[in-house]
Amino acid sequence: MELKLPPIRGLLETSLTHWPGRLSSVVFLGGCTLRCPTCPVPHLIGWGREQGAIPFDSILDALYRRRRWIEGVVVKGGEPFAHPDLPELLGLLADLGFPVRVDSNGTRPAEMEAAIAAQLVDCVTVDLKAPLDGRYLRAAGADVALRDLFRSIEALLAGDVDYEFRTAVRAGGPAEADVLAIARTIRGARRWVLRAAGGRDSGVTGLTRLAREAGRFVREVRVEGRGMIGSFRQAVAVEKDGRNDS
Amino acid sequence: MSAEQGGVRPVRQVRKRDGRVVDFDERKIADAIYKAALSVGAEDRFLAEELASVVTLFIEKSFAAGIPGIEDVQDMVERVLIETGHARTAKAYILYREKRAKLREAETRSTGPVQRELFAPGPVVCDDAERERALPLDRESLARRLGAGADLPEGPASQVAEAVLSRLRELGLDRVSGSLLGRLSDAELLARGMLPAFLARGVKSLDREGISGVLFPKEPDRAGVPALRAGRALLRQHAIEDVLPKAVASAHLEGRIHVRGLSAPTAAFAVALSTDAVRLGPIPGVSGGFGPGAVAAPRRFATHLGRVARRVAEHVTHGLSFPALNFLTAPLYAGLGREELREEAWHLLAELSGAGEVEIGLALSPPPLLGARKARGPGGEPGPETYADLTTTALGLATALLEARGAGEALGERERLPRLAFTLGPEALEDEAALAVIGMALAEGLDRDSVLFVLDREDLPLIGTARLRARIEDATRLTDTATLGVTVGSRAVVNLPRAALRAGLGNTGGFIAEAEAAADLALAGLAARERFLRRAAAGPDGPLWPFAGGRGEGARLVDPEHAVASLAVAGLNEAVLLSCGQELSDSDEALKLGLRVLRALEEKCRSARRPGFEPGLDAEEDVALVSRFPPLDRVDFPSAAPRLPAVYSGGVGLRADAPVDLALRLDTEGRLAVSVRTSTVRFVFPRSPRPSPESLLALLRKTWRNTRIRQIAVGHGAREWN
Ligand code: SF4
Repeated sequence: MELKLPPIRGLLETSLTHWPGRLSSVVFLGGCTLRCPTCPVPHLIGWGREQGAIPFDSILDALYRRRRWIEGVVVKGGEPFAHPDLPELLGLLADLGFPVRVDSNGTRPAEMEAAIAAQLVDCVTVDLKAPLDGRYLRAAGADVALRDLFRSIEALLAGDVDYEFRTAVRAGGPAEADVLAIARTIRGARRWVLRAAGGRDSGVTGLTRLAREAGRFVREVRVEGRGMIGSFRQAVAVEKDGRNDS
Repeated sequence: MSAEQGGVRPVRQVRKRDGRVVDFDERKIADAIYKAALSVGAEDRFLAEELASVVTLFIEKSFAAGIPGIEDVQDMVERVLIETGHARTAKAYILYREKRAKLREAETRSTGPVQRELFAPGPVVCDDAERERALPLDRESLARRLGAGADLPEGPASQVAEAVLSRLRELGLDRVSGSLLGRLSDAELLARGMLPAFLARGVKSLDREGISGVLFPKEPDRAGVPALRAGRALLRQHAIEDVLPKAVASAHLEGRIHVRGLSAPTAAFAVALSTDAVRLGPIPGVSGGFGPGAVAAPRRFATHLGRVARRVAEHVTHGLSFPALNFLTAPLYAGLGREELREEAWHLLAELSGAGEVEIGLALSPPPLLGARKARGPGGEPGPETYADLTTTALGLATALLEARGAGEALGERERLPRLAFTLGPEALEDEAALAVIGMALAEGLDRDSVLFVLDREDLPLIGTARLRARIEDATRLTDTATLGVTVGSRAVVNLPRAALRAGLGNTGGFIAEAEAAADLALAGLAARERFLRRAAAGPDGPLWPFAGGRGEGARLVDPEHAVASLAVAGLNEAVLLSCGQELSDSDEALKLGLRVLRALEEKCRSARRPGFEPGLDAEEDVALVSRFPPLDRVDFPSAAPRLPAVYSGGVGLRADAPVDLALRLDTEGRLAVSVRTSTVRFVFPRSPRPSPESLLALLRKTWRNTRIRQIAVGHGAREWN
């Protein structure tokens, strides 16, 4: 019987940045539930099968060749959980012995919970684009059931699987007040990554300050982006400060 | 009225010797006449064209009904030249025809085409010892040299130059040494009665042009104090002409190999100093050391170390390193607080800056053979604590040095500050305190400047310059006050792409044989240089005598018993491409070819070893040096020039922009690093997003486990390391 797998549109063989602390391979799936105006991967959001897919054999071959180096596979989209065949793919990756992380936009909580329950994922990240109100709908460019997002957040906060919330902060993105509003929504979260996106060179300094603020609500805030290494030490300090408040 | 209208049919075609009919081209006749005229000192292009048109006219008349043969045309050229009173040119032309005929004969006998043509020669190449390279020689450049060196006006200089070049062609030489060129020029000047010009040329060893080149260097990197540079130029010339065996010298000038440090033939290539020896033993030529019993306060020690470094640096061309400085000096810094440590670290850096290329070795866990030993206290006597007991201080000093260096860089002092090299073993990769230092060092590498990590591998024997940076394999050596440390006497580099070019595309066996032949020459060069070093250390007249323990005092810098020689390679990736058509990253076959070459050279080192001469295989990663090779290769292999990249890859690494991801790059470079132990793998992260220190740490761990790579440089790409 032929395997039914979601369409794999891209593979990044080795990455040092997609799963911090690990050397990972990144599998990109096509198809997304949102239409964010600032989407960095607009070529991946369409669902059409006609857009082609990389045969799983060649993915397998690439992963096998790098098996001594790769410490995990990140599955990204689009929205991976929107694919009914995702469990099949996650199962195959798990069979190969790779820890798997899925980067989601949080709009498919049921599928996410099922994958967690079936122990098909080792880590889930949810991208929070804006506070969960009208601002989110604008940022997502689509009509979204916000309760799905709340449910995804709750599932991660209450569960045991490793997780991370992520928010890209760019010019024109969430303002300072927005960031703190998101922080309140994920109060008590284990880890939140603020990413300086869109080449905001100076953004990191401001982000670090923001991270300190946000540290009142979550246990660890990390800052990523240009010049990130420089602020790494500060981020560690935030981690210590933040713990007391959570 | 045109010739055609006058009833003479213009000649349009000519039959070649092999029967092919080709277009008649009057310009070719003019070229041949002009070249023949040049060879006898005349140089009138216009006249040559006039004569060519006469030849055309005669041919048109004589061959109105058919197609002339090449021989007919040539006969006509001779006739015209003789009949128009150009007997000398005619003679040269006849000579030219004869030689061409002989060459054709030879060509039909040999399998390949004969390269050399009489009047269309490849460039004559002059091996210029002063510039340490081979330069293509043509009439203009030689005339310029003569004009400058012999005060000759342009016209006569050009005539003498052409006469010298034609003499070289007569002799069948397409490669000539600078001194032979000088002698031929002198002979030509004398033969023409140009005595004042002959006398004006003066001293031949470094001619006027050479001296003026020294005083007004065109290449900025050759700048410096003129007198010093002139001295270096003379020393280099001496080394090339009198120290190296002839075959080695010409291979050096051709660019097949490069023997390093010829402008300082009595200096060692690199030296690792024991800080204990510096602290405890008197150092020749440096006063104010600590005798036994004298207490070495950190500040005084830093001043003394700086003085010693500057003194020793005079006798080292490439680099000075202090392995495991943080452990060996830990007793001096024990008990200091973080701020005090930072201040002392800053003094240490300041004292060591400006002493050439200095590298401070920082071990991140107690060096295996040192850890259990009793540490020497400030007074020099073994104290109650072992070096392992002083790990916290040693790591504190490493941190303080990192911070102080960062602050120094912020002040714009980066170039002058010593580089930090971190040695780490498996223990350090599991130890929290060591990991914190590693994280800082990684951040430093990405933020400001490259940082070098040396992976301490007990299972690999240490040879060559690896000794300078790697694990302290011999604790006695580093704590022995009678020997300063380890000396790498000299390094010679094999230009691997040249070996591949000499063998030709598709001839992989020939490539390996050529690489071996070049290695033989390089090893002969190393042996000659080592002999010279030893001579410099052997008697009271020798400049290294005091450093070899000659005066019977203090520690020895040059220790013939233990000096090592470094045979280095460069451009493996391009060599493999030139030999088999694929780069190292393209296929397993290409990688295997690279490995075969390295193994062959390793074997060469092994079989050349004898007491007092211990060569090891290294990677040459000095960008400035490696970039000398492509232009030289272009001169000698003009037909391959379009295929040659502008730069060769340093050492045995893949091309910086090779189309492979990090994991495959490390797999490949890791396999190559088994033979070449000093090869450095570079992690350069020039753009965002940058990896987190945790990711880099994961990479370090994996590299440790999966490969035998010994050195890793982490940086942001703004600077090349070597
Ligand atoms: S959720 Fe991600 S992939 Fe989907 S549209 Fe938004 S940014 Fe693009």
